[in-house]
Amino acid sequence: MLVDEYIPIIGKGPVEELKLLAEKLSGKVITNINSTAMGGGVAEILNRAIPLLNELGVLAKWEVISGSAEFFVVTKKFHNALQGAHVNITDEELDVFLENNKINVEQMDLSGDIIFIHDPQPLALIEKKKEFKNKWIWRCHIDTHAPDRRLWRFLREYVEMYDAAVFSSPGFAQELPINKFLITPSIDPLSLKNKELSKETIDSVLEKYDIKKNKPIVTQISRFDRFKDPIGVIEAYKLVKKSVDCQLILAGGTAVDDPEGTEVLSEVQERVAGYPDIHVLQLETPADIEVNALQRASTIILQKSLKEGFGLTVSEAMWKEKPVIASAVGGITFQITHDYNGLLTRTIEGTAYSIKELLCNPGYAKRLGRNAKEFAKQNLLMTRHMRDYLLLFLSLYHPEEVAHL
Amino acid sequence: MIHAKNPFVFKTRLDLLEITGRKAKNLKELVDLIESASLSVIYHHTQHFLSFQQYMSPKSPNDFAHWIKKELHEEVLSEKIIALDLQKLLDVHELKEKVLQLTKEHLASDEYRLFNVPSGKEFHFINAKTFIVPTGQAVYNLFEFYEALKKVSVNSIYFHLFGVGALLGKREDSFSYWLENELKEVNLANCVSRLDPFVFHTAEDLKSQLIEHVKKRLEVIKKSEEAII
Repeated sequence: MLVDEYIPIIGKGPVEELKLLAEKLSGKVITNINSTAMGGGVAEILNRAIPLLNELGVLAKWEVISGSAEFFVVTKKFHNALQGAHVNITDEELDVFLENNKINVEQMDLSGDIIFIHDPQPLALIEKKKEFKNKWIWRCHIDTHAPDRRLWRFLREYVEMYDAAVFSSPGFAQELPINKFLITPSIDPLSLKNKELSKETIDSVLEKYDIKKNKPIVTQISRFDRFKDPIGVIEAYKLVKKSVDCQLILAGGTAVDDPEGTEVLSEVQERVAGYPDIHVLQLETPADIEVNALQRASTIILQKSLKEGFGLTVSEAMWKEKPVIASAVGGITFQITHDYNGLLTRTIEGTAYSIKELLCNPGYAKRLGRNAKEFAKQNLLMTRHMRDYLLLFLSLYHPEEVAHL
Repeated sequence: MIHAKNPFVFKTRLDLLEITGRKAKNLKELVDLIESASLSVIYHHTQHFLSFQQYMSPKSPNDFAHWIKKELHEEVLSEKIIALDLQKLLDVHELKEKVLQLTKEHLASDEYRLFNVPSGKEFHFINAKTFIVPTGQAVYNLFEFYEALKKVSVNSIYFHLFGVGALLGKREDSFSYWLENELKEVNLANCVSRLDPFVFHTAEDLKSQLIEHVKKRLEVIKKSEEAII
């Protein structure tokens, strides 16, 4: 079984527990719905989770809502507003959102025992709940600790119709009259993006992108998104470059539900003109092996986000034993304890200082990386995440405080 | 080797974390919310030796102590809470009262100054919704017990060592109770009941120590059986 391949990493006991829990859900159909099949953390998790759950005996399905370009522009605005950006959303745009959900309601099979909705794009499908009398869960993957109030009031009416909601941090959970659970996302240590790679594979990727092996590499892997602050990364690098020679890689893909990507990429390309040691790489999705190789070849991994739901790229780097410098925002603060398994920063200058500190103190960087790997093993792997999801599904049928299964 | 009348049935304990929505921004609020918190909330915030590897970790297994030190900078109070010997306070209610007593004493002392943490640094109260699941392992003698210990997860070990008394207020599922009452292994039972989760770096270390105790006892039994033959 695929699940048994995790035994060398986490041991036999936790794998057996997954099988025990899955057995208790035997026969239940769980339909996951999100807005993109490729690109971004949600699709990545589902790509790995669905086969795993099915192999465990849970009938997990995955459907993707369809939408016009206009719909995805609106939902991207939703995404930004929920993360606290000042965005004006018109009534017409709210109608576009609702209308698209209505079209999808008619096209989708929503008869599963549990309908598991990911993020706000398919949120309004819940209106169909009364027809099926099944259980619905909303999984919010984004940082909603200070959402745009008007938009939240609008969305809240739909969220309240769910049986439960799931957040990645307690600070993200707004006041709601339904059960709210805390489940952090995860990475899969066996995926192409995270498995061990040969030196030859890593070298071939560096060669492909003309990246030198004789100079330290500082890398940020992220979509070209303003919340990931690629411009801030470039400014931090420029400060470091004045005294320490190093290269910078900014690498990211694109996603169907992110229409802003191209615009941000152009801004980034303008900023790096005249800096041959800055490599801006637009990766074809999926580019898992390339991302893996770039992370493994890096001396330091950055995640200088201004807002962050969780920051799976941080988890990936930690699993690869890399020292990570990341912003103290969102779910990153759950993953990194400053000066123990990584460094947390808040400014461009602070990020530059930390990069220089780690480049000049490789022993310290190594210690941070070692602690990062141990933390990732205990808290950030797919197996822990699947256990939490199985418990979440079971909780819908066992409301008691202590459930004897 | 003694064969038990009643088997030891291995179970495991798994928690789903529930966001209560309650949060404290200062020590006074923390006291108020601890006072009204359910025992499963208190249990969750004081048993992180299970969910976090302690090796190389700067975190105390007690969330209250950790937050009081890190965010409120009340190091003396934090130390006093960390020092509560949880092994002897298996009753979570008693532990809750002790934490409250120490914190209230501190609030009334001259050392205390009201300090509100900035937004985003509040203490969030989390409830552990618990699932107890039989693992399918039922054993009748010490050898089978030893073999099963090697297979089950650390969650199961912790549940039977510490979770039963703390959570359900009963001893029937505990290792030492079964060893003493079913197998008449009084010394081994005493040894097992003295295992302290706070002195081991990792949950796996504690599991290894438990297995080692049982293994040693099995060797003694084997030698005495050989001597009789």
